Amino acid sequence: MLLVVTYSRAARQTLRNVCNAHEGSVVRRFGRATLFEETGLGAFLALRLREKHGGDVQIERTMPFNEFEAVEADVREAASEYEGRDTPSTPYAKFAAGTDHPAPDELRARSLGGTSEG
Amino acid sequence: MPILDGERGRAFDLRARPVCAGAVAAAVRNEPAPIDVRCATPGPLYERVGILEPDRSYAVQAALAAVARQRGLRSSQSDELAAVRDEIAALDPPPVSLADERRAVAATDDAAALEERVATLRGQLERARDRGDDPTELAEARQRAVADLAESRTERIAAEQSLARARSDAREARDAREERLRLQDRERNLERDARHELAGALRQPFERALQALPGDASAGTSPGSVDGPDALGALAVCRIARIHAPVVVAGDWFDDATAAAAALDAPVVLVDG
Repeated sequence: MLLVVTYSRAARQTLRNVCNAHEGSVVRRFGRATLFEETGLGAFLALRLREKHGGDVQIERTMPFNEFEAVEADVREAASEYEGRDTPSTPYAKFAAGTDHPAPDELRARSLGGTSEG
Repeated sequence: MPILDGERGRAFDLRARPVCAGAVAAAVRNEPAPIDVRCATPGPLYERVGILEPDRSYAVQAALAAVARQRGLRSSQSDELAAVRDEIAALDPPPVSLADERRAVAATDDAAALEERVATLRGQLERARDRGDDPTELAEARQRAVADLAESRTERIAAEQSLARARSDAREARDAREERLRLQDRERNLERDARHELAGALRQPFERALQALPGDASAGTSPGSVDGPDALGALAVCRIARIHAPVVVAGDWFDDATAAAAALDAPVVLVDG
């Protein structure tokens, strides 16, 4: 999908107008950002916005996230078990220490599988 | 010779003439107009309530707040508002454009074609050798293709790195833009609160003016709001404001220009609505 984020009042207003006029191309709206469908029309609308508002419009292409492809099992397990921890005040670093769960630094250094869009 | 001379009176009746409210207001503002008017220079309030027509819509609360400012009132938001405006003026977010970098990445995306060429030449070379033909030319062509491929990959990597750097720089520039947007929203909220407060400070004169004027309207619950037509609110604002340039009235609220000038406490030009 195409994520369009606006950074000025004028750009935000145009985005609202575009969304109202092209609801069919809008996947989801968030205040000053919108997810457009990944179609030629979605791209056209996003590019029009950037043409009009330049640097006040950011366009990114998003991709579906499949945790069973993109991350290793230990990351999924760590997330699941950390959320089920007994003491809510335990920070993750402490929770992971001395276990098989990956440490925060290790997680930070890992990139996701699957292709990423430039 | 101006048909309307503000030095010779405060009440003018142009209802018998084929001239519309907009034309008179333009003349008052010293803009090109079909009639000639000599009068005081209109102030900021003239933009809000300088033309009074029954069906026009008016930002009555903002106009009332402007009257309050004219009277020297300050809102409790004014200091913060000035500070926020200074902050906005001081912000100068750097430009964000990654178009060149994106284009460069896209332009280096010819590796697939080159890979295919290398593979084709390798096949041709092997077949030439099997046949016992002279492979020199093919070998050279293949070498060139391999070199091209290597170069293309290097270019691609360089372009990708350049784009990645530009993206990371853009993040900071966007932080600045985000901050500016936050300040602008803050400014707008403060302006709204200030309008509300200032208009509220003139609630009593506004109510009295509505009662004194023709038409059936009373002050609404929210400051500067009117239960009744907007235009009556604009008339009331006129009445309590200091207005030196002639107000153009295109409604049948008043019998004559003199009555209008008295009721609005301002120079008046009546035109045919």
